[in-house]
Amino acid sequence: MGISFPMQAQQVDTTQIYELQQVDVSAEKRPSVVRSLTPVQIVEGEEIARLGYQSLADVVRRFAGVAVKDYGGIGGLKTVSVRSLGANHTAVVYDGIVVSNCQAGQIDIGRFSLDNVARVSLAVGQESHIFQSARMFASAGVLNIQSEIPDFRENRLYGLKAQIKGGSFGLINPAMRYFARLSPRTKIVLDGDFMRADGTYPFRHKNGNFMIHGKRYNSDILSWHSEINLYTVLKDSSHWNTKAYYFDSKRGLPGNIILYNPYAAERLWDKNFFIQSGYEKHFDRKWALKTALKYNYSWNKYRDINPAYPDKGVLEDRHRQQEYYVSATALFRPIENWAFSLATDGAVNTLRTTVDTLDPVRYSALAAFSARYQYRFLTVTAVILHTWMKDKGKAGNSLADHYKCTPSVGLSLRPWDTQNLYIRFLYKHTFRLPTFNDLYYLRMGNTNLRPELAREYNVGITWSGAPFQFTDFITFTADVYYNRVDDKIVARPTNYVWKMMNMGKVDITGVDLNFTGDISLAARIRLSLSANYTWQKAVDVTNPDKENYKDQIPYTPQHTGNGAFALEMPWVSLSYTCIAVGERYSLPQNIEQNLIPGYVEHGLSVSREFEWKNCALRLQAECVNFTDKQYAVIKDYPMPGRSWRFTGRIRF
Amino acid sequence: MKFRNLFIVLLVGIGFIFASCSDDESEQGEITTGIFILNQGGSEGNNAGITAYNPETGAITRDIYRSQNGKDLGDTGQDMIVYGDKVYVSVYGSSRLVKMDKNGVERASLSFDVSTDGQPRYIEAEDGKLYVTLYSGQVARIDTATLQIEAYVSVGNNPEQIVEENGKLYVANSGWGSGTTVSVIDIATFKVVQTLDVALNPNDLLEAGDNVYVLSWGNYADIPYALQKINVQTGAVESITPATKMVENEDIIYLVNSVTNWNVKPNVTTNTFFSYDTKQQKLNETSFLKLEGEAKTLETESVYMMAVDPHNGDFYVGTSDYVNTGKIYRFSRNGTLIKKFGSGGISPCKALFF
Repeated sequence: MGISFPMQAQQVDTTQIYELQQVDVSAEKRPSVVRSLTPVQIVEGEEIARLGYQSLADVVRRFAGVAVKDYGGIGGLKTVSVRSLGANHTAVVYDGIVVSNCQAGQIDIGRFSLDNVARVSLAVGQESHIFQSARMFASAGVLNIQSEIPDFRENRLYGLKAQIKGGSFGLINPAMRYFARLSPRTKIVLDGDFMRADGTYPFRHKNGNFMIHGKRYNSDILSWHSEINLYTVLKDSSHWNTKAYYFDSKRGLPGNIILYNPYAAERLWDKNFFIQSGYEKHFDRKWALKTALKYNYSWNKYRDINPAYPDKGVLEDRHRQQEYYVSATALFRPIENWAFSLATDGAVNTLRTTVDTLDPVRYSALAAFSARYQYRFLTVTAVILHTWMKDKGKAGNSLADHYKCTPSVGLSLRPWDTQNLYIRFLYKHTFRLPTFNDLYYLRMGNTNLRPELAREYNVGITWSGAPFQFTDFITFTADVYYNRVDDKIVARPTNYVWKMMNMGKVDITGVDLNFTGDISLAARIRLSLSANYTWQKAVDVTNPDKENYKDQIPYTPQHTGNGAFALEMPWVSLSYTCIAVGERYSLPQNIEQNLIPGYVEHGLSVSREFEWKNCALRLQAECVNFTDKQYAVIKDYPMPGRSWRFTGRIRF
Repeated sequence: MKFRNLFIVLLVGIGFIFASCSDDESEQGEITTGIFILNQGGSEGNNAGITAYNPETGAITRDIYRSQNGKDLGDTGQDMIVYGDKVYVSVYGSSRLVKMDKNGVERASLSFDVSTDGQPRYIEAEDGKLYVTLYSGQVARIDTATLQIEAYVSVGNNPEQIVEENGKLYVANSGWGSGTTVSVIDIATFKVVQTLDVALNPNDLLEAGDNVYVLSWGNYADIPYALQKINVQTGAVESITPATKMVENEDIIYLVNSVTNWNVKPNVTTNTFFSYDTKQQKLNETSFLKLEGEAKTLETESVYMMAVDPHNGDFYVGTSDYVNTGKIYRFSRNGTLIKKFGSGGISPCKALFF
């Protein structure tokens, strides 16, 4: 996708790359879900608002086959694992560029705001098209967040959107967006939002036969996020977009519930700034080019107070990461039915911490060569990715280096011309590099680590159509998959010292089912339904002598299901959502003591939009977890019970 | 629940009652009727527990504290001692000390204020008082009858094990890996009277043959583990051997040295078992355990606990991988494996014999 230019990029897909494909009316709405060679799930911004989803994590956890680790509360860490491969195998893309974290390898999606999001999509393997950066081919799953580019209705010169959200646990979240046309070819968008919450929510926690009624303390958050976006169409119709982003937060980390001991004093400060710029040009019918540049600075400070710390009872760690990133992709369509692309990315990542003095610098280069063939009923894509990385220490000494070639192949068949039914196959081999923490963290790091390997196999069937008079469209997808993780990087105790090692092997078998449908009940009354279900068996096959051999890996339910139901009416819109998660284990061994019970969470939302001439007002009320179910995603991290949220938004 | 309680009491409890009754008799001919094994649990896992083991029948009751009290012991079981007819357990994560009877029924508990006391580590008992090391760098004196803190004394940073010998308490100041001292507290005045220099990172202490032995853990890299003898009379410190865990019985210290070879992939840890006769001041390199048959796996597992049944000399060696149920290897006095069984929890770290 073009940097910050999802709309245009999508046009490229449909009108140019896909131009030989028959256009089918029903697929207009969600073209890529059905035709995609790789399983992809999409939620549009409108839908997010209508269904009253609370956060990006709330959206993502409803995707089939996805597990979001949520440590509870507004400020709690939230990471995404696709099909049990682990969070390090998921790339998070924000407006066209992969967000990286070489230190921990996982991206906390808790920080991304849902306001002004145009679309959230989750692709297994990679996105279906081949005109993308090399990094986007390099993960086992891609979570793509695209922000909305405001539309300038009736050729107006500027617009303003103001919004305020408030709700339970002291949440106040005002946001402003101003956009203007600087010249006929240039738009500017300014965003700012502020959030604060006490986060002190009540919880119930079982201790044997006793029920503890407690409150989460040290769970407050204060954050500020602002962005400047520039969208330019140059004279030769090429696009040039730039984004500057700043995020600042301070929060308490309540930790897990420790029985009999409510003490919690951990605090975290975060600062993140980045600037990214992308350029995209279509020279002619044969050639297209896109490039991107990014600089990222992230800083955090962790502090804990406990007399156990020898240094005056305070532990304070600071970490600073920087990234310099450049990417270029060329697309070449020499003849009908064929397309090729070559993508090359280069990056330099640095880390400085107060924990140790290694200060590693990582140099990496990725090159992806892709080919795509399309002929009537058949589409085939093949990608070969080469990754090279080298870590150096402060003194210039070499610390670790890796290079590796990994392939992926996707195929899609449309057996009948008259039916909008596709059968798809995917094989992808990827890996994740050991992170700075894996390699160098004090005694725990291990410089002998190899990359952690993942292989994905997927067979799926997709269908879309309007089988009945009253259905606008129905989409159905079913995928069966097998994944294998080898050389999994895990912390293992040896001689009373924990050390990172390539020790794990995981076998994952699963089924994802997705259904969406739109029904027109009457003029201006529309019902949208969506549901999905995941079955997953993810077992540890590392060592037949271990107690947990062939046991389901931690935090992986066998059954997960989601449902959403929205009724749009002229006077009011109503929605209902639910998420059901089966029982799972908190530790590798599948024994009763490690069992975490399943749960079902329900949500309700009511909204209404009022319009006057140049002005639109939207009011929305949401009730989250309205049955007040007490549950935990991570053991002993209780999630909030019933809570409320109110949103008012005005647009000029 | 009632029925289950009753069953447990019948299963293990009766034995303890008999054992308690026979406390006043001479040790000669006394048999162990019950064993408590403390499972530390995973860090921040709230899954510490006590497994009761009947050495006669081999019957195991997992988490007897929970069955008897209807609630969990807490997070990170650190130490467990028996004193008089009561058992005292320090629960580090939960920052509390629990007093229970030999059937695992809680009689009282004491919570430590994390911000001032710090969390509790190890316990020693003497003359009706408990001495508990606290991570705030203090030792608290607690009355066993009231379970109230009577007084504090400051020692070094992050004190770990504590042992009494000849009216003095010896405290290993680990300093979280940076400590190099053992504090000596006079019990009568409850003041530090001496601070002894020992090898880096002292953690474990025991008393044998009227002297105190300290095991320092080094820095897990170039500075190795070290067993040192503290001469109680002179305060002189003398190095004996590298070792990673120790236990004492009849003035002989039984040791294990676990060494990891980082140069092979995957890394291999090898355990060597040997002993030290404190009377003759002599190391005996011959293994006191026969690692054959089912016991073969003990060569490479992480030894987390070593205990000796004082009544018959049986060895109990516990191993841990920190996430799965730990294993207990029970050997006879002559080193033959009697039984290998699951410890009923994660990381078995301490055993008591009634």
